[in-house]
Amino acid sequence: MVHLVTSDNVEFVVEKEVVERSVLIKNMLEDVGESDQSIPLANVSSAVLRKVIEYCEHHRGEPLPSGDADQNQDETRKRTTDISEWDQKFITVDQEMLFEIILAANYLDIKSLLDVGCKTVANMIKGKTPDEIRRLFNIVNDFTPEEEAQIKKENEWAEDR
Amino acid sequence: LAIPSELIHHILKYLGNADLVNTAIVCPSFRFLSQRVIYRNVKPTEIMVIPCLRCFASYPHLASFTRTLVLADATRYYDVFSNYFNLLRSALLNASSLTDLTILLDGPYARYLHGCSFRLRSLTTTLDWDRDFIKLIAEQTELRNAMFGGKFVNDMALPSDTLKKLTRVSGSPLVLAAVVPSRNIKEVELCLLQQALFKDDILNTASNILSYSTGPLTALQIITHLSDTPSALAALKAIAKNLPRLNSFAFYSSDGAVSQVCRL
Repeated sequence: MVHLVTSDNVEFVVEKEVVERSVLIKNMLEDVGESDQSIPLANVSSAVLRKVIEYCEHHRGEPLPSGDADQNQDETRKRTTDISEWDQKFITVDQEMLFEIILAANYLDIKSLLDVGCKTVANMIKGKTPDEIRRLFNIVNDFTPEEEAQIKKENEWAEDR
Repeated sequence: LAIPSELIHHILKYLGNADLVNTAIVCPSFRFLSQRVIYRNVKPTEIMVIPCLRCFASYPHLASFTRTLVLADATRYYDVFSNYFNLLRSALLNASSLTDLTILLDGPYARYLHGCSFRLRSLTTTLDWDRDFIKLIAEQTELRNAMFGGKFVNDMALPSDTLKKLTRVSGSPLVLAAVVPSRNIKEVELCLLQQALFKDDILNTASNILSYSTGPLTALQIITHLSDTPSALAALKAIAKNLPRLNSFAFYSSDGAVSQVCRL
């Protein structure tokens, strides 16, 4: 069993097989060996870690993606935003939690969870106007109309799809 | 809640251009990341080829993002003014990181691609195989994979110090005869489309030429037009005889009636 302590000081005791879905923790355990000493996760709150562990438990035993596969995926533009039914249900959370899960998955290095989170955000962006996307990310528009026109011009050829 | 830009980039990679043109005007960091994705793999529709090339020519920083570029033959959709070739050239000169180019442009226009700073790993083209084309090939020292579909101009010898890294090539028998011998070609696609060329004597000559690959050649794919089945079957024997080290063979009939892969 592995002991984890979150940013709000809550201790979790998790099976090694489950927690090793996180490449960060897997590498840590390989480096220092197993011990009763708990691993501090300063960037993850207990609410978020609970979700992350739920995900890891569901997907335990599945093969981890290899480095090569990652690279190939980055090379080809991936347009599929299909998410499995269980993952879809799992990731149906409020927007703040969604972003927290993405940040935690990135920090803990859980590629498949990061992909699920990013696909979900991509699906939220799809079909939205620039203004709606700004509201989604809480971004203030600081482009002048002239700048906007210039950017549209630069991407003009790409609009016809 | 602030999402770091590497993660925004990861999210944007799941979007198509229809959405990316909107994310590009959200804010400066979204603009930069969206345009990197839009310009990485570029495949404009036929009517957007010229607007796309104009953008490449006008915005070098955007053109430098591009790794893959697929250009349909604009001459089929426009009355191409001579300026088209100059525009094409200005655009390609700015595509400094390009590694994969598909350019479907029939004719003796290879000179418009001379002197570009990119080093292609993959080239698919219908440009004429003429003196200018050979100069282009000599410049592109990193080519691994090539499809030469252009008209072969006779007596165009390829200098032996060209295409040193090529391992996969597709073309007509004349192109393959120029490319394959004494090069480390492992995979060949033989195109016998023009006439009913799938005959015993032609296959014997072609496979004999292919046997001079120093690869050695291990995979052969034939695309043909099958009309006379008994003579085609006889022709297959020539391949087995001349290319004993082949471990993969595929055969496609352009009619679509025959399409199967078998292991030798």
